[in-house]
Amino acid sequence: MKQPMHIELSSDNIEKITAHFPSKIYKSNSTLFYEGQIPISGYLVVIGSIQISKKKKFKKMLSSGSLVGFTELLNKTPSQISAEVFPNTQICFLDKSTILEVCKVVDNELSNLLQTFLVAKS
Amino acid sequence: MKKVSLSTCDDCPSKKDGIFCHLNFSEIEDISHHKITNHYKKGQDLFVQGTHPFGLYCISSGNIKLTQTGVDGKESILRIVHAGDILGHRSLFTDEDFAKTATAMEDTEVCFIDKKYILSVIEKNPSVALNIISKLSRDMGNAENKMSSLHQKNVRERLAELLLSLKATHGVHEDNRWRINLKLTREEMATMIGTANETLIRFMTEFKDAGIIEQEGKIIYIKKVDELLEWANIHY
Repeated sequence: MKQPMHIELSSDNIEKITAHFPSKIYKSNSTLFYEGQIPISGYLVVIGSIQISKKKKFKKMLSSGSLVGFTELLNKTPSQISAEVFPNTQICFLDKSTILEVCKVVDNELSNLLQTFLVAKS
Repeated sequence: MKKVSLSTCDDCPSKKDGIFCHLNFSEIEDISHHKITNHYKKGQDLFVQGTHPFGLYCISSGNIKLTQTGVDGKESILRIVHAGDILGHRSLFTDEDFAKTATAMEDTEVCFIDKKYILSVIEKNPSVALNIISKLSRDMGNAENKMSSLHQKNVRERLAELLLSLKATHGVHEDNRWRINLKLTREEMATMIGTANETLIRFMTEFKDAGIIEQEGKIIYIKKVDELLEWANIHY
């Protein structure tokens, strides 16, 4: 089955995530992860955009609310795409330790939300 | 979906030189389970100058160059790291953005451990903190030496010093000479000793004419270490 490249989040869910995970604004172009690699973090686009490519060919642009790398990080599976961030884009980083810590809490709003991402993409 | 083979820290070729070398089997297993192992092709960046660090990179195999781009857009190589070295630790503890860009010089295997996890490992195992301090101290010593060389030594001495340092980190002894197991362009070597390309080429020719080094393709061989030490104006 073809895997979706990313997960789309509503503005409410962006707020819930950014309240718990750190965000940073990129000053220059940078590759978030290369195709075939396991992303070292989940990346949520808060403001701005990232470019998705496959086999060095442009696939699409993702903007605010797009989450990439999340399931690959937790399942330790290589990504089928490369993601590059542009200057002035704000990215929220979902690190593995914090995700696992949050997911341990039963019946917590954020924990439930993160678990739906795993179900949505698998 | 394709799963990546999970190489463990216990099998890591750089385990004996790494920061986790004193940990027991179950502690190593725990790190192996948590870390992310990736392969970088030649030219791929691990991180870029000005971006935010959120973990520690452990080099399992290959060479990585750390470069800094000046306001004029010129790139200088500050350091080359290899198997057993770690990256991102200084920025991690100071919580500053990366001051350098890390780029794979060849196909490289690198493990990544996120900040929260590595801090918990350090809290539980002071030996990891001591190993990081030891690496930081060595890096600081090297940076001080490099700074004093740039101020006090001429290009010939700096080139001799660079060749000796490459011999120490990447040298393989074969047939009465030392093979430098690292392919560097003339431009890269020139930025490492703070000189122009043309000047570096001139001095390389001088070293070859004196029989101190030899070159076969891109590979440099050191033939006379004692003379190189004299030319470097250092005695160790």
